[in-house]
Amino acid sequence: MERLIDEAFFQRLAKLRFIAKGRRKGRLSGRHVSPRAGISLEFADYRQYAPGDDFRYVDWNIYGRLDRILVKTYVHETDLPIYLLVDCSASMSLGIPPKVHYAARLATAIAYLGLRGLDRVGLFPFSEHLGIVVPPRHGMKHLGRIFGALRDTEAGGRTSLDDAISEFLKQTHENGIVFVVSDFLTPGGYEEGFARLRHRGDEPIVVQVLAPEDLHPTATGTTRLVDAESARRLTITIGPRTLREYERRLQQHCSRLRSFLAERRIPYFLAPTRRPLEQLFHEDFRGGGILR
Amino acid sequence: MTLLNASALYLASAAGLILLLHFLRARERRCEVSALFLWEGLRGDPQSRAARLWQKLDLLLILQLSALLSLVFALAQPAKFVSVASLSQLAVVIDGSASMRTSTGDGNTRYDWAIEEAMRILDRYPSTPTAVVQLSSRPQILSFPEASDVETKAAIHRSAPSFYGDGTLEDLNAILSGLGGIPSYERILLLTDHPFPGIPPSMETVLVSGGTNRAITAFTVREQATEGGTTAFVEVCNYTDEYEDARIRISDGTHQTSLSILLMPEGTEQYVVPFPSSRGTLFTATLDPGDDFEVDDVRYCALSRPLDLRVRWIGALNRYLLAALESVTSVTLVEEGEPSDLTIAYGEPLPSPTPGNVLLIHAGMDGYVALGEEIDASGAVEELDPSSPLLAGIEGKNLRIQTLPVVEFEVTPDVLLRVDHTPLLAVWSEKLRTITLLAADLMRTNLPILVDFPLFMRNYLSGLMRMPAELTYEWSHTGDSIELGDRGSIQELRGPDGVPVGLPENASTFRPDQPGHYLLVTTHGAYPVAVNVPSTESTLRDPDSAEALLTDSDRTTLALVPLWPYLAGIAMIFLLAEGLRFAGRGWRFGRERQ
Repeated sequence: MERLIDEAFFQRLAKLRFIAKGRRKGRLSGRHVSPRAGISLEFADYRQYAPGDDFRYVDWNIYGRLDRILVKTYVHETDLPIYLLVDCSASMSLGIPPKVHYAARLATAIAYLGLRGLDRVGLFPFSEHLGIVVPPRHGMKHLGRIFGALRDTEAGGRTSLDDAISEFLKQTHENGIVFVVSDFLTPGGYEEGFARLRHRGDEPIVVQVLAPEDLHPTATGTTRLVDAESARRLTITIGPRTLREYERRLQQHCSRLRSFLAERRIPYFLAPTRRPLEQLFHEDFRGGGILR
Repeated sequence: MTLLNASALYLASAAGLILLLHFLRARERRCEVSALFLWEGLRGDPQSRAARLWQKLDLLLILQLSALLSLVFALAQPAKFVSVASLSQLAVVIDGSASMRTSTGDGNTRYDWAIEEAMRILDRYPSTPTAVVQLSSRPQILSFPEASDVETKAAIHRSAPSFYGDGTLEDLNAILSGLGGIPSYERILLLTDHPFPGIPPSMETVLVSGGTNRAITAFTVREQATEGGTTAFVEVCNYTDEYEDARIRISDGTHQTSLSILLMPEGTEQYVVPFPSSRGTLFTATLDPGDDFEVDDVRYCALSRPLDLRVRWIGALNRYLLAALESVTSVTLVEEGEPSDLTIAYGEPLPSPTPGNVLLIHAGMDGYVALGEEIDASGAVEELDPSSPLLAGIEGKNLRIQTLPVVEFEVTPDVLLRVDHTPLLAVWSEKLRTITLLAADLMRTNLPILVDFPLFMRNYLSGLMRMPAELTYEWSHTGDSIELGDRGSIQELRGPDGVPVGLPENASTFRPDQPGHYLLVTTHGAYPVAVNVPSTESTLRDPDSAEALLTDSDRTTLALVPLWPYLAGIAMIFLLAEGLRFAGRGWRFGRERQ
């Protein structure tokens, strides 16, 4: 198994920061702009003086010219919760290397970036239900917990994204950036979940992890296909025509997912397991506007 | 083809076990997929008969069965009959004389080429019993006919050319007679660098050649008895067809002399080289520059007498006198009748005229001097000839004499020292010897405790004329048996490198195996022996003077060649391919299983 933490790769990631769309109310000071006025060097706006305001923020020049008592407000920088929803269903165990391992490395790298940007990061592995959750916390020490949880996670069970998101929303009360890492190889069952996320004000980001065996299977001849999650079986004689038809269906499936997400302005990234993570971060994530 | 162990074929029944295991396993390919719903409803491809057959015939199974069958056949020891050249018995004779050491200019020697040719011959007759003999003046058997091909080749590779001279047909007959005799060999191949005239028809000569040579073919040294020093006689042969500039260097280990010479093409020149500064006994002549046969560029010569002073002692042995002598040179005391360099009479008159050098200590000698009664001699010692070499470094005033005998000379000597007009030291210088008289009893003088005594003995011995060694023109050759003659019995023999050579007890001869200076320590003294490679080895023969014969008129015979190593190798390849195939299964599918 490849190492989850590649120090050289992490060093190259260190200069990247997440971009939060809109202003969010965080709990603690961070690097993201908050809708609340606060204490920083960046001027935000004027507002009418109210009893109790700090006299130090009254703009006396304005009072001299306009005879109005206004106080200056400054940009409040706050932290941002980043939630990692990682699919650990049985289908994620396929592929060489297994998709779940690629997803774990991806989640570790995202967690590293978030914690380094003074954000809170939490891990929510799921299949039919949420697995062992690592609640959002600050600080690089938290990376160890996330790393340990990812390392101990074993793929199994069916994928049920709607149920998992429903449980996730019950367990968290603060909106944030929600990375959903899955192969999305289910006939459906994700629409309601994403709608709920959007409704709460979260910023979902979807990363679809697919193995080369998913994209371009090489099986030939009469083969008994077994579904990794449902254990259903299908015997079929596979030839070039069958393979072409399969790939066409997969394209349709992925296009449907992409269209659904695009309609809701949810960023979508396809991550074949052979694609180096560094390229995914520096080319796809930065190009997609979620990193700067 | 035949099977030497056909019973091993029963092991092929293990194939049934492999087939049974194969059919017990799932016959259909099984492949786990992430999304079966994407496959559902797809129409399968029509499969060709070849594809269906291929699917049933699993490659792993084929490889397993192939490996098993190859192993079984290997264990059955298959062999095939092949037709090879064959003789009833073959003898390969490799010339191992010193000339085979000649470099052929490509980093090899003639002997190396002979070995290569011998290997070709052995490869040509793999099933023929072959005896291998190294021929020289001391021939030896390298391999017996009963030895295997591998042993024979190893023995040939281990062998090296000797420093001995050429072997003769008689030598070859003698050694082959111990291997069944020449008639028992259908073919005898002689690998040599020179033709053997008159060889029997059953012998064929394969000539190896190469290299150029100039050689010292004769070297001897004569002592100048009267003037001191030596004269060397050197004969040099140029076996090339070009003029050659060369230099002869002659060394006695301490001093050296040289002579520049011009050698005529294919010419032989003799040189007389004076060596007046030489005082040695062992001589080395070197011809510069060297050539392809280096052995004959250096030759050795030793004077035919022992290195130490042979002393015949008459009278009581005086340890002071003996110690003074041994401080100057190595001394060997010899018995009456044995050759000697010096006779010492100590306190006893010599009864009859004695040949050679004589030292009289308080002793008379018939015909020369007679000693009378002792008289007091406490006066000062008077030096009559202070310039005499015998008195160099000696001061007469240091000497104290208690008594001296009355001396009566029958032949007048040169008196060098006297006390109160009585002679103390007198010398008779004759043509080939000296007689010296020290009239006083040594123990009634203070001479033994003075430093003047060893100085006196040094002066005495350096002026002593030893008998010139007998001039010998005969070399002692490597491989020859060297007789001791009248040199007593051997105590020790040291080789050219100074290391003692092991000899059997009571040996009366020894055979040197390399050229150089040997030291033979016997009961009669230490004798130097110079040993050279025979000059006949220096001659370069014309390779065209004999034909290189290797006829192809061999009859053939059937030989059994084992095939099991090939089958075992094939089985290993099958097993390796099976392992690779098994490891590669996972590359195509995530969890593909058969």
